[in-house]
Amino acid sequence: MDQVFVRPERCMGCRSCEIACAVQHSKDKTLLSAIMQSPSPQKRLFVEWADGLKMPVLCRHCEDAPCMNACISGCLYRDEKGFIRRRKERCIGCWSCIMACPFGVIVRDRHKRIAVKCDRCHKLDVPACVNACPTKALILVDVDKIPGDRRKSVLLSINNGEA
Amino acid sequence: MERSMDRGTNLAIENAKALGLSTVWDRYEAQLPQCGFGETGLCCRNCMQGPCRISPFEDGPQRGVCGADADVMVARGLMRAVAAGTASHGGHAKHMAHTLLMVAKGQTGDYRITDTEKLKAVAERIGVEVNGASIEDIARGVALKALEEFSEKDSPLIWAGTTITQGRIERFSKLGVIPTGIDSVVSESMHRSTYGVDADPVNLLLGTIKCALADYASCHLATDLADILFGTPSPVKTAANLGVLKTEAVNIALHGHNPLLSEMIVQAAGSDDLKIMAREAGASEGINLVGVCCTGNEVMMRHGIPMATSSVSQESILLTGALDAIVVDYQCIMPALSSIAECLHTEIITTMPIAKISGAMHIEFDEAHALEKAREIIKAGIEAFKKRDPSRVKIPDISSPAVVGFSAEAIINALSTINSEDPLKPLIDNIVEGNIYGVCLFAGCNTVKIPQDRNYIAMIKELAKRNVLILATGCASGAFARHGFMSPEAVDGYAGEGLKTILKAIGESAGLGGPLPLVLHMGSCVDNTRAADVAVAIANKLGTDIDRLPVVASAPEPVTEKALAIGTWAVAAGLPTHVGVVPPVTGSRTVTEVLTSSVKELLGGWFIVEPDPMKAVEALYQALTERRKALGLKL
Amino acid sequence: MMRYVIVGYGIAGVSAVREIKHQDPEGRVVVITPEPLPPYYRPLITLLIHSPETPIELDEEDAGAEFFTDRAVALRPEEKVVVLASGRKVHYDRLLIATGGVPYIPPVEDLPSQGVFTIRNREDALAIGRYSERCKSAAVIGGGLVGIKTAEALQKRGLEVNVVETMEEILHGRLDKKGTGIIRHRLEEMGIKIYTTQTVNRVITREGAPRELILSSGKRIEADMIVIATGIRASIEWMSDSGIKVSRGIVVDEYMRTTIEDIYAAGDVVEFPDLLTGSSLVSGLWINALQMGRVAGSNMAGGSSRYPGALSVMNAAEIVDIPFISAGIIEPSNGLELIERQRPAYRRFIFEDDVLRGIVFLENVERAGLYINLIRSGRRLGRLKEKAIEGVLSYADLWGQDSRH
Ligand SMILES: Cc1cc2nc3c(=O)[nH]c(=O)nc-3n(C[C@H](O)[C@H](O)[C@H](O)COP(=O)(O)OP(=O)(O)OC[C@H]3O[C@@H](n4cnc5c(N)ncnc54)[C@H](O)[C@@H]3O)c2cc1C
Ligand code: SF4
Repeated sequence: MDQVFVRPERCMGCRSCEIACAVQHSKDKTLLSAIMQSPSPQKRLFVEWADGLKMPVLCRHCEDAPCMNACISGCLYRDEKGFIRRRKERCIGCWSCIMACPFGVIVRDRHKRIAVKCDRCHKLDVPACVNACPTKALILVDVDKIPGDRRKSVLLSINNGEA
Repeated sequence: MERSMDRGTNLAIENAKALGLSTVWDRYEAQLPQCGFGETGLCCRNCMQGPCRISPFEDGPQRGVCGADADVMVARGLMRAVAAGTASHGGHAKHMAHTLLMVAKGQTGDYRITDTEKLKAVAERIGVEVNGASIEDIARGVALKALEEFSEKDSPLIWAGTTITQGRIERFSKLGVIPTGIDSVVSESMHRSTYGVDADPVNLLLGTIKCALADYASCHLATDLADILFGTPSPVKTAANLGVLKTEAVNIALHGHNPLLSEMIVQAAGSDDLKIMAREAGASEGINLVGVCCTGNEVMMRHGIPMATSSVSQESILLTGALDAIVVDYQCIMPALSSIAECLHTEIITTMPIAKISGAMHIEFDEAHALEKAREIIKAGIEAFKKRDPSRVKIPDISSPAVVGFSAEAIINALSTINSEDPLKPLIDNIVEGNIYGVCLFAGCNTVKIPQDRNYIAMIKELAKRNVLILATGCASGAFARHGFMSPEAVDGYAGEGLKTILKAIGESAGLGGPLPLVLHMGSCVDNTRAADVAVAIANKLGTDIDRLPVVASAPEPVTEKALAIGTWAVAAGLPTHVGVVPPVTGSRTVTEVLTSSVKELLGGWFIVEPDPMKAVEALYQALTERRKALGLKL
Repeated sequence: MMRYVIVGYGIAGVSAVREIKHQDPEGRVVVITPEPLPPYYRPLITLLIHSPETPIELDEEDAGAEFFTDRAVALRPEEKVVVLASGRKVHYDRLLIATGGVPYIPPVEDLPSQGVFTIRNREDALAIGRYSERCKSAAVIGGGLVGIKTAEALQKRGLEVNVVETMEEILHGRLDKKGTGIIRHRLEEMGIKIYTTQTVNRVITREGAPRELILSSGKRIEADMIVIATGIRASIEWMSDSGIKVSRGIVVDEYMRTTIEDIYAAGDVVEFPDLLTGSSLVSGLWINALQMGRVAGSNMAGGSSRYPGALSVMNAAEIVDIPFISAGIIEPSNGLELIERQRPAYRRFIFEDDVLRGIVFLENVERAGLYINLIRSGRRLGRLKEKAIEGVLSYADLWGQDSRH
């Protein structure tokens, strides 16, 4: 399965990923129309900072997803590709998922009573944020293609920006 | 993160919180993280094939669409920033020159020549005939020469060429960086940094230095003409911090840069009918003017008008709830003022056709009817006072005494009370002896990126202890004044033995009844040239050049493009120059290397980029030591 | 072949079955449930009061289990059998008790037989909805989350709704005073009448149905129907002589084992210590039941997973358009520091030095999960405390710690 990896030491904090995300979740999926769209489209990942660090924080589509476990309405589910997605019409806006997500990446829709989260751009091969990142701070790795015995060390080196 | 070391500012921030208003610090936080491409100068929007970004990592694009690499992109960006800074100081200076010409032509009754001595001195220096000429004629001659400085001439800028050492001129000529027109060099800088022109980073950097020298000329011109029109400053007592606002007065803040406006308001505020009008409106203490930013420096050093706060904390005066009007001209005025004023009664009054703020009241300034406009502005302040909500007034009870106004002339005057034949001698002797280990000029702003004043406070304490004589201008002076470092009392607390002795000796002999203040206030940002004048005088007297003197400069909390321009000419003048915020150049190895190191070979000065104040002190001190060593002075 | 018996098919039972089937596909699973299949999202039932067609089913792929639509009435561990209401005895190798909770009904004088409801099951909610068609007014006894959600639903049906609560405030224990105050105010603005520190003294009936309630204050309120929502008790009467240790709920260890071998329990039926205070708690939370069920299922099928424990206060909801999330300790006691922020929205933090112990977020609930994680981990925040309070703490601040392993 392809997974999005974050390499904070490469993040410039330019927010290209945030913009690409919002555009991808707009009606016409172009920057221009997204800017004109009202209400404006919402991003699902967040470029954050800590001392000496910038990084995009985004949904990890966790193996044992707390948000999905917490969802009391059957809105959040895991799709056939393994992504945690919404059945929008079933969301009742109880915010249990926001309560459960340890990364803080699920937010409320600004206009409707419905939770908003990353859908890993399930219709695209490469998610919009990964595509937009100019420094490859966000990269897509096919975890299954890394042999099991090497997986840990490879992922670690990716994390350290060596890959 | 801690926002300010100034208790006044912090109390104002608390007020903002209580009122649900955001301040510059909140807006900064909302910006975080800021874009690294911008931070490193690796983003170019100079053409519509862009925007282009160059990756600081090897696996990303290394060139923009046009082929510009990181070095070119960064150098072009820096050149444009310095050009913008120069344009600002140039605009300020040109405004003064036009007004001086109006005075000479008798087109305005509100301004006059205040310092005829200075007028003559400047005239002589720039080659305007003085003998037998009337004051008006001299003024006209100076004004016309000044205006000529802006367009391209076939000779170097007079205000650069006649105010620096011969050694500098030779170096600059050799490098081909002597500007021949202020506006023309700004224009040239914009030209050569646009799409497809100069693509040699070193050539671009030389162009940037050329532009910065035009900035120097603008600043010097602005200072000279301000002194001619309004008087050359001499020491005066005043106070600084938010506590200078008065509950029982109509409080009007003067903010911005050019004294042309503020001088008139000071004058108008003195008129009896307006004072009575203020009292009738309920302000038993009449009209209280306070300063902010460089305008604050201008009126502080000439009239002792207290300094309320510095640029970064400009919102805090409004947040006291006690400010009735804030009058602004141009530069460093945050558009945010008008959104804060929306929730309070304060009137924001813009005055310049080129600097309006939506939501503000605009009273267009007009030099021909300056006083009348100034009165109109004060009346607007009195009207606003009537709307003040006393329950919202929270003036922090904080203010520090300060003695300010040490122009080059004032310093020479003070020194001449010790040695009237050779005023510089006592200063030079003390430098030679090591009572004064060196001189550091503090300039520049406060920034949200460093807790306000932190670097100033840490650095002055350490440098003064090590007997370094401190000069300050601009918001650096605001910082020192607000924390009490500009008072004679601070000398005992912070100065090293040698420095203490000399500050006391000069202060006593100059009849100040005590030592000179720990920091000598030299004025506004354009007045950095006053410090240059002193350095030039010393160099000339010793028959050497500035780049050998134990003199350094520091902008520990800089913000503006103007600060970059000043920093660049300080380096060109031969000063090791510290900046406490990393400028957007680190994306280019070449540019960073040239500015922080190899420029030293060419000009003697260089940039020390160091956010940590203690490390900065060490670097500056080491530079002083190196120079003392080279001159064979006592260590 | 192992024979697993699951009593109760709420979310605890459902997730246990999933886990057992996952780990031991060959095992035989028998489920005893009095409720018709498929299982459903119990927290959604109040929606059925005004919109009976709302889809609330859990998507349960073929569970691979045998279902007995029946009720367990006794448990005989010495014989390893569960006795059902029909008289049938079901033998087990491993048993899971996941019978959840039953509504608690306070003693009220003259409670009529008609027009009085509790609300725990789908059928309860549908019955309330149907009955409300002939009513103009209703009284909800109990101002907890379920009571308030029921009141909102009845109001949506057009009834005049009264809520009677014995405590000083509604949503007692879920939110702090200020928080409940804000929500109460909004509820009242919407026209729901709320009577706190009052009990129902008597019900005046007409033709066997409620007409009016007389409250302890003497106040009389009109009510054509009554919904009792005064909390739940663990559903344990049926197995009370089994010898399994119970107090407020069935006592389990972190593997979800009861005090008798081969018998596990999970969900609202158990009690376990609160992660922060150690005091015993009965969860009442969907996610806890789900996780406990999974741990129990895994261990029954031979695994050894542990339940990490839970906070007794942990709520997320939106009432009258006010979202809120609360967790941990929400009232400061000795040694704890209370910090409140009114802007951009009401937030309250309880700290012990620099360790976060509890939060209440109103309106602006974003990132609550990040904070709750800090409460659970007991991490010292140091300089991050300030960032946490100002609402700019993010996962980036915790990244260093996280990437080390
Ligand atoms: C109206 C309402 C709103 C709620 N809202 C929320 C919310 O917003 N968020 C949240 O986290 N939680 C909420 N809850 C709580 C949540 O629904 C429960 O915590 C959760 O359903 C507990 O699951 P369980 O499997 O332990 O028990 P239950 O769901 O109660 O399932 C127990 C099952 O066992 C059956 N049973 C009982 N006795 C026997 C017996 N003797 N023999 C056989 N079967 C038996 C019952 O009929 C039932 O089907 C809400 C509950 C209600 C009623
Ligand atoms: S696009 Fe890449 S570099 Fe830019 S903020 Fe996002 S992750 Fe960081």
